[in-house]
Amino acid sequence: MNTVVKLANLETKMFFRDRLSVFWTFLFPVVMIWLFGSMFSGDMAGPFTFAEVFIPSWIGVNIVTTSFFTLGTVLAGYRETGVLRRYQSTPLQPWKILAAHTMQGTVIFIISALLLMIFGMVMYDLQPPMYIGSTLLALFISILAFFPFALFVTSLAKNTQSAAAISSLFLNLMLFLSGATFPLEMMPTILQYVAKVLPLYYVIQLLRGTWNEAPISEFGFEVGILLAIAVVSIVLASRYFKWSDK
Amino acid sequence: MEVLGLNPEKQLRELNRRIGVQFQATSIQKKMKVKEALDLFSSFYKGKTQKDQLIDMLGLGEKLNVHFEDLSGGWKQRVTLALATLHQPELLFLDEPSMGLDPHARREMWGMIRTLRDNGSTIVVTTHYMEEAEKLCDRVAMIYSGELKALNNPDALLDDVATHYIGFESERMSYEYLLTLSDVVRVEKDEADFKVFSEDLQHTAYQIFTYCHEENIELKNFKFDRGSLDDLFVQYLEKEKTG
Repeated sequence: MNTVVKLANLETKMFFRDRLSVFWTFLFPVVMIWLFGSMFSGDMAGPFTFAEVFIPSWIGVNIVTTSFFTLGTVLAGYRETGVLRRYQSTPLQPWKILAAHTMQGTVIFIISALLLMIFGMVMYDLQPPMYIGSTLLALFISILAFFPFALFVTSLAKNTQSAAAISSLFLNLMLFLSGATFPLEMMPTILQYVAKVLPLYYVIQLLRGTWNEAPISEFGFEVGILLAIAVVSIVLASRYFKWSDK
Repeated sequence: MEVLGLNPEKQLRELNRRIGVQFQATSIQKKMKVKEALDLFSSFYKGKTQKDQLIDMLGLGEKLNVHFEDLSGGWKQRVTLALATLHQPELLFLDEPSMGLDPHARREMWGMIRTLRDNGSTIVVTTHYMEEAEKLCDRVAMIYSGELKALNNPDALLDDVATHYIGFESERMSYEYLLTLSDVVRVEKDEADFKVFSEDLQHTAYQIFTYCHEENIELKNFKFDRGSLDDLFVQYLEKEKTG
């Protein structure tokens, strides 16, 4: 266990040494919220304020960014440059590497979520989640669904560039079509159906719901879908995980 | 197949505790500091590692706080060599350890490899530099197109085959004539420089001298010499071609 913590700690440190990833993970969502805030905040349709709708959504988006970029693309890079292969010639067990990276991803996600929440509270009078236990559980389930999903999808890539390309595709698709950034009601019916195929849609429903309306027990359908995604992607990720691209 | 008495398929983890590998083109995380890498890899092995001795031996002290991506090729090789040897492996595999090193750094690398050998590790080095194999290795295996062509200590390898040659310079010497001599295996000609590989150097020398005396051909820098593993490798290649 010592090694897992040590590796997770190191990976977290190295994440902060890369200014670009720090910007995209921590500052970009805040900047986006601020931009959208200056566009939408006055005229929100429905009973909720701008922050109540969009802060939980961007926290959901950050699960996607963390799983695809902090975890998936980085590990694809490690596969390409032989970092994983070097581990393979030591007694370090494979699960410890994945555990360490999952731990690092979770830490980074938590920091980004707190940052968004604090920004919302300071700028837009956002209230903390109404059912905090439910929100935390929702986050946990979402991570469980997305981390292995991203690990699987990026492990199909041949190298870092294609892993980054796949990740950007998924991120952008979900950004615009899951209701995270643009209200789905604004979109044509067909796109509303597409949204419901994307896993982020359910994450966002769950986060917005437990933040503003009801405990997680009211969202059995969303929880079920995410758990199913979690099971399938854990199986796929462990079945197809490769240590080197040769 | 067994390595150190272990089955590599079934007992890989146990085996990994006892071997060290330095891959040719792999790196560690770009933003990892040298000391962090040493520390992390030390934690993979039970018991105390020879981290501090290695830092001394490889002179890594001044680079401990440098990120891996900021190191030059030679320093990167040293760091990965250190990572492969932290746990004093019984068996150490080095894949082209001196690739991309300047001549000075290469000699230093050889010195380190010798020290590791003297400390009791068995070291398997793959290399394209025959000179490296000749100077560094106690035993050399020549592998060509997947087949083991020769295996012995370098001296014996060189003695075994006709890598002994006569070298001289001559403007008018006939290449074709040299090939007709009975003991001659191979003749290399580079402008006026000749290398005559022969099974019986003395006899061939006698024939050459007689011929040159009769034909009034001038010879310069005449010497007996011994080829290198390089020559030996080329010889195997040519045998292959001629069947």
